[in-house]
Amino acid sequence: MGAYVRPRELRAALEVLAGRDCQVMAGGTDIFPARAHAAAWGAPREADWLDITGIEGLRGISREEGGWRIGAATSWAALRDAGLPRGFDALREAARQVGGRQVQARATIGGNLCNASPAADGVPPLMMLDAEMELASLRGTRRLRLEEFILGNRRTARATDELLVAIHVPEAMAQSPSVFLKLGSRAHLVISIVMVAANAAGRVAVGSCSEVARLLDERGLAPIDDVRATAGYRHLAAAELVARARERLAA
Amino acid sequence: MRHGVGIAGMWYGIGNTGMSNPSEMRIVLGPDGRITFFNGAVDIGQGSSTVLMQIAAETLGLPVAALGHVNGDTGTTLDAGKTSASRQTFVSGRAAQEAAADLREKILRGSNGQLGWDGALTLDGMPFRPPAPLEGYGRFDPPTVPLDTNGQGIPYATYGFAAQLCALAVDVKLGTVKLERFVAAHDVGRAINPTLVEGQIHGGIAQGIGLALMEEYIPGRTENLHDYLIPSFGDVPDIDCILIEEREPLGPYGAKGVGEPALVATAPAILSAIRDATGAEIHRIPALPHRVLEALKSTGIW
Repeated sequence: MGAYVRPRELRAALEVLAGRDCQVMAGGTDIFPARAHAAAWGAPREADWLDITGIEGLRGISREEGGWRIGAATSWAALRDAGLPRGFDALREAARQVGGRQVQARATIGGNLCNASPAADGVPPLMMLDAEMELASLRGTRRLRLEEFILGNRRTARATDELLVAIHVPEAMAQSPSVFLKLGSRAHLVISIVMVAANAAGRVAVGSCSEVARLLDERGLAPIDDVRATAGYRHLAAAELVARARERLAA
Repeated sequence: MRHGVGIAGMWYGIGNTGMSNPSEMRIVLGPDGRITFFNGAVDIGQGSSTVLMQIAAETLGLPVAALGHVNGDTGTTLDAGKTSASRQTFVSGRAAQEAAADLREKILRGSNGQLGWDGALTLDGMPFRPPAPLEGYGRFDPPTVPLDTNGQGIPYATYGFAAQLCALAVDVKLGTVKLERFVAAHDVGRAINPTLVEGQIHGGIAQGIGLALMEEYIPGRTENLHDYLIPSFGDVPDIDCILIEEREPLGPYGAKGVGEPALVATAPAILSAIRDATGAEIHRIPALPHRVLEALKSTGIW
């Protein structure tokens, strides 16, 4: 494997990223299996690793002006166990259902977003919450809405010298009651066929039914056939889950 | 949610089909007074070592603690055949019984017949160490007749019989299946170790659930454990086991196998219960939600 660096300061991490191509890692629950798979098929020498879990400021959930800040390296377990307003119920339910307890303890919300799987459990709840991504580099910081951040299957707008440092959630969304429903072929540890996050403010996001999770709007969904389900099934199941989510919010 | 119950019965041959598949066992009493069970049957987690030790100890008339155990050492253990075909309790168990009976007879020869254990071996109340090693040997090959060109013969010496009942609920809008309960009745001849038999049944039902509802190997696509799903503990409901002990005359203490029989009836019981709940017939497994929903639509009811 390549070199491994674990800086304590954000600036040191950004300097590493500015200097060379690095694989950023936090919990490693997505990239280790992917790397092992690639290595097994004879992938060439790996890039260097930049472990960001030593940077204190990247972890934790806090109030801020106008809303909430979630550090990118906050674990699913920390989200799951945090006392948060009802707008976060959907995100916390996703945290309870992602992987098993071990994965929840290691994996981070930022890693889930940067991995940009169409079935990423974190995306629908944060899209529903109208979350903004804060990216930092030596060039400065910028903010992108989640829809602008994830561009496609495994593609994000993060430049190679940038680090996702935090996720910002506006106060109005944080206070709006929310639900999360996930459908898969087994009870636990499953990649979903369809996911729905919905809140009382009327925002509904659907995951696993398009290349990137979508807010429900006139565009509709664009699911594919895969080993988990057919596209036609995803359309029906998404509509049913959306209806159930709305029912639950109304109850 | 629609609830339904399904039941499936099965029989399944114990041992290899229509061919010789012997097991040989040896148990040795050394001049140091130690008894060692040389057991070539490989325990793959199902508990054959425990069961074979129980059979050997019972036949010797000694506690299990009196026996040392060497397992799967090609230098000292004999060929017990494969751990497959649900055969180790039945075939190797009988060989272990024969070996233990042979050793007991050799130990008792010329004595008053009082073999005992007080932390060490005793014979007629006195500590016992033979001047030279005594070896008990046992062999069992289930009697079968190879199948002729017309497929006629006696393929198996004995069979396991079982019925499994499954209660479940089908979400008719999503095609998802929630298992609620299993009742599994298995004729195991005799349960040498009831806890292990129940363990085998629980494991078999878990595998059967995978077969019925989620496991699908598609070369090049489901070659990892996030795309190829096996049941998690949350997918396996409560299971009530009913052990039927109809003695098999050829088996050790009447026992026969349960390894594969535990899984055979599970998927048909599940599919029958889906039909009972909804009228939908599933013709392709695994019954993934999209397939169940398609079958539901084709009934015209849902």
